[in-house]
Amino acid sequence: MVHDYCGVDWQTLSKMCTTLRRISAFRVLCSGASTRDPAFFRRRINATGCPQAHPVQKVVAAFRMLVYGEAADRADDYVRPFRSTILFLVKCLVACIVSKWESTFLRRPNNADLMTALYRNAERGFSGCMGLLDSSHWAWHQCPRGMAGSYQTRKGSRDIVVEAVCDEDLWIWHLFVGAPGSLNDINVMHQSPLYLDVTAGRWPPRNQSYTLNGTSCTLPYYLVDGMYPRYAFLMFPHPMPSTEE
Amino acid sequence: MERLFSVLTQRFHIALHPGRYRPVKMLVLTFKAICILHNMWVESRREGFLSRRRHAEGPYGGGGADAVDGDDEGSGNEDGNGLDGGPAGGGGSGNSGEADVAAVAAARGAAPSNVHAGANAPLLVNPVVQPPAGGMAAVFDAWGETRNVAEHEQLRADITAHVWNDRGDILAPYLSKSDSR
Repeated sequence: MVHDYCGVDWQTLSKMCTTLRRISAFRVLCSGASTRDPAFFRRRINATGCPQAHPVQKVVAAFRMLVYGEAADRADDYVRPFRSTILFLVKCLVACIVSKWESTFLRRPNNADLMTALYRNAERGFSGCMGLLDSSHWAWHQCPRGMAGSYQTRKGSRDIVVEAVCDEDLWIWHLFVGAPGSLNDINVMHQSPLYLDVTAGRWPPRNQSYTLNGTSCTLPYYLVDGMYPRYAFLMFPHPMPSTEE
Repeated sequence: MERLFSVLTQRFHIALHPGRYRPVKMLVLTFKAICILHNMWVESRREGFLSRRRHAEGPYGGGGADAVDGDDEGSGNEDGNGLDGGPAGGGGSGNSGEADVAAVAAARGAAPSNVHAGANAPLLVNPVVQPPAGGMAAVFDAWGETRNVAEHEQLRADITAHVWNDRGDILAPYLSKSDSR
């Protein structure tokens, strides 16, 4: 591996680690992975006394599957683990990332975050906007036949629906994955935790008022696209933008 | 928003190809991991995002069961963020009041959104500081308020006027010719 990186495969090195920041982030990931799940990411010695793959090898193999979307046996000549090992590694890495960093990087916005978002959007001309809400589909290749009915989309493929809220920097504030693909965006929203929180009054806090055209409101809103229902906390684009604006 | 999904699929091709796992739980986990990595990337690219992470570790993550995790994050980071946990936590709790935060955390911890306790519910690390004030009546009020169509119409009219007043000169060339304006 190290030989690959330092000598032969210079281009891959520069491609993968263009900046120092990325290298450090990668190193943090490696150390996090190896400390979090020591049973598998740690270097082990097998029954014959030979050392097994280095943690960096394992993490790189798993990341190649995540990032490049490769087949599991594509990377075995580059980073040496076997294909079933790589498959298992990806699962380990994913579980490790979620358990370790979900509370930091995929958390709910607190009040300070909401203030920041409101302030930034007010600067851009949308006072009271909390973020953008939309959903997308992710095809599910291995959908069991028994569940194909509920997961089949209107286009015919079997999907799961991903609902997300982001801001203009593409920071994801809310994520809701796993709804069956036969639901449209509205139905997904109706079972999303975000919607349940909003309609139960838990979120957003109403202690910040903003002024739009002389009217003062306290309920911030999400920007959505045109198919969402006309609720007070959703705002979709104007139906005839070329006439009034 | 469309940009987010295209960026995600371009950055992580596993989201571009059909998911190859059998259980839905694994798909959910994978997509969550992708989004976490994406957020990490966003944070490392943009300078202003360090503050958001400090928010995560500061006022709420500092106390209770997350203390160990927060300390671990702070010391494990290579950017010299060891100083962040302390001052941010102190400032945050000083602003909102320890008693308030503790009470809210206790209230939220007792019944943390069991309604959507499925595999997809995000982790409730940062409890919302404003709990529902008075039982079911408040819930029904919020239900009516957030689903109010009339309020939506008014808000949209206001936004239209606001945007027109604010950026009207930019939008003027795009007006249709037949319009009186």
